[in-house]
Amino acid sequence: MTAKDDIAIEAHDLWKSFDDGRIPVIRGVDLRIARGEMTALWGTSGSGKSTLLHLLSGLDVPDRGTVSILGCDPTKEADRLELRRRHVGFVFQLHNLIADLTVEENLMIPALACGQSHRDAKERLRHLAKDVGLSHRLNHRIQDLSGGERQRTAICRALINKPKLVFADEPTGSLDEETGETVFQLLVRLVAQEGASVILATHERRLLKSCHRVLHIQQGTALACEGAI
Amino acid sequence: MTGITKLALVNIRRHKIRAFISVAGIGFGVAAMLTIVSVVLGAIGMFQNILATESNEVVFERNVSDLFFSSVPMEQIRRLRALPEVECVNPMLVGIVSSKEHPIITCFGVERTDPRLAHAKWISGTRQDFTDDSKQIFLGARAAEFLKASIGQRIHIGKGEFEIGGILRTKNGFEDGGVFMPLALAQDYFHREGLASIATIKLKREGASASFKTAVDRGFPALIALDDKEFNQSYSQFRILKLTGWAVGICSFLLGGMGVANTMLMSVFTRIREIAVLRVCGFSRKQVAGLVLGEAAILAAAGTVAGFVLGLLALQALNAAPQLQGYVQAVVRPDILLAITSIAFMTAILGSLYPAWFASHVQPAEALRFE
Repeated sequence: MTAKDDIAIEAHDLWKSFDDGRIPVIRGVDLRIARGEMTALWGTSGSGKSTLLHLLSGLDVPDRGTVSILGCDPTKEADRLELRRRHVGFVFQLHNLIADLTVEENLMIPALACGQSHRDAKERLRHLAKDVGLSHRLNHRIQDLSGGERQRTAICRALINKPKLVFADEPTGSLDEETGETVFQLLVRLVAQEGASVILATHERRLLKSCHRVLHIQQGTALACEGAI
Repeated sequence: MTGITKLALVNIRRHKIRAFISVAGIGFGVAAMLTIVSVVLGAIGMFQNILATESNEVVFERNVSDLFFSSVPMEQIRRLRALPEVECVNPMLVGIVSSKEHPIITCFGVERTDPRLAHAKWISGTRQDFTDDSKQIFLGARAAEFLKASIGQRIHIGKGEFEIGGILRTKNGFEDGGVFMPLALAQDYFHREGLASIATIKLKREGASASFKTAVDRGFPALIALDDKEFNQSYSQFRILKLTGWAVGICSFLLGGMGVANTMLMSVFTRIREIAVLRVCGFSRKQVAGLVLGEAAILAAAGTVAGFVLGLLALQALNAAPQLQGYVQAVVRPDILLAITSIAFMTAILGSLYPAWFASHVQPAEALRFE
């Protein structure tokens, strides 16, 4: 049994459906994710892994059941805001950066949201940008970057406020295999470096070898809970 | 520049045409309001100046809707002059005449001692030429310009033909674009023998206003005496003019406000994903709403500046237009500029309230579900 303080996320009896209940997606998921772990939600397209990731991260609310993230209740706006500002980072399949802003301006957004000092935020983003090889791109607009560079920028944005948890939804899904592997290894290295936990939703089996735990999601249920494979 | 302002500017830059239409909407509203209100206030100011030249009180017929319809008998003017509080009384008969191509020319029938004549700068002729029994008329400088008339020339005014006895320049656009004539001649011409429209009264001392009004109330039941301030506040024509000016201005603002509302709604609808990302990055509902309202405020600021420039240019053009005979003497007051700016911002903010509310309630998961 994991000690309470070691638990990053605890979910109990999660249910989620769409279209007024006509499309059930998540059916009674119970799980605990320990701090410092890299956990994969693995399944085919439509299995419900992204929806589960959204529920576990507080991006969406379950129809039934409870989620606790680092002891906070993500259904409460104040808790959710605190989590997003201080403790949680997100990486999406389509990077979701603001195309008209530069790399630096995109990376400043989380700092702007939480009122972090401009100087500290700049120092941090320069450090991260150097780490991911984007120093020379800081003043370039997102629309001028390659897919890999965009995803590296998105990873930096997720880590800018030194989160304890990073949620990554198909982070390599829009990249070719080689770039995807490079970006994923970068994510793995950085979160290890920062001491953060990662919850990764993916359909790519090759990414699982870097994870401590794999939850196989099928038809909205966590079927198997495996160690590293 | 703060980060949120920068984000707001980025979005405005992104949709230049849409932003331009909004700015133009607010700008036209501001320009319309500035032009109308300034012209109306200018007109009221000019009218007030006519009545307030070297006087403290205005006496006119009780319960008339317009001073043009007021009749103050000359016999009562003589009795007013006899009151102990009074230093001097200046009767004036106001009428409207027309000439070829100029449908409205204001005509002022005054006595030779009238202070308006004393304060004017005589361009042709002298003040001494203006006698009470003269059959000549005296043109304001602007009237002489648009009538292309000069001293000694005979011109048609309405149904009469008069010789020009002099040309005088005054600081008042109404007077400058009008015709002065001896009171007796005006009474004869307008078929209002023995009558004046109003009498402006100079008191021996300012504190005598109350006793003067009481004396008028008791001795002249058909007349009313108001001091200049009371008159300005109570004269219904002024109130109607002011109200009309503001009403027309506000209507044009409503249109501008709808433009801003439309722009902001479109702006929010087309970047729901982006707003969702901001929420995911820790933006609070207030910050998201602030971003939308900030954009609206920037549009309002740009529209206000553009509107002021446009409005001032329009006022200059109106002032210079020969067809208006110098009747436009716009008054641009700081409090009016402030009021218009406030209305512009209020309109933009009100128009953005729903878009801001909508944006602040975007559900990130829903917005990001379909990558």
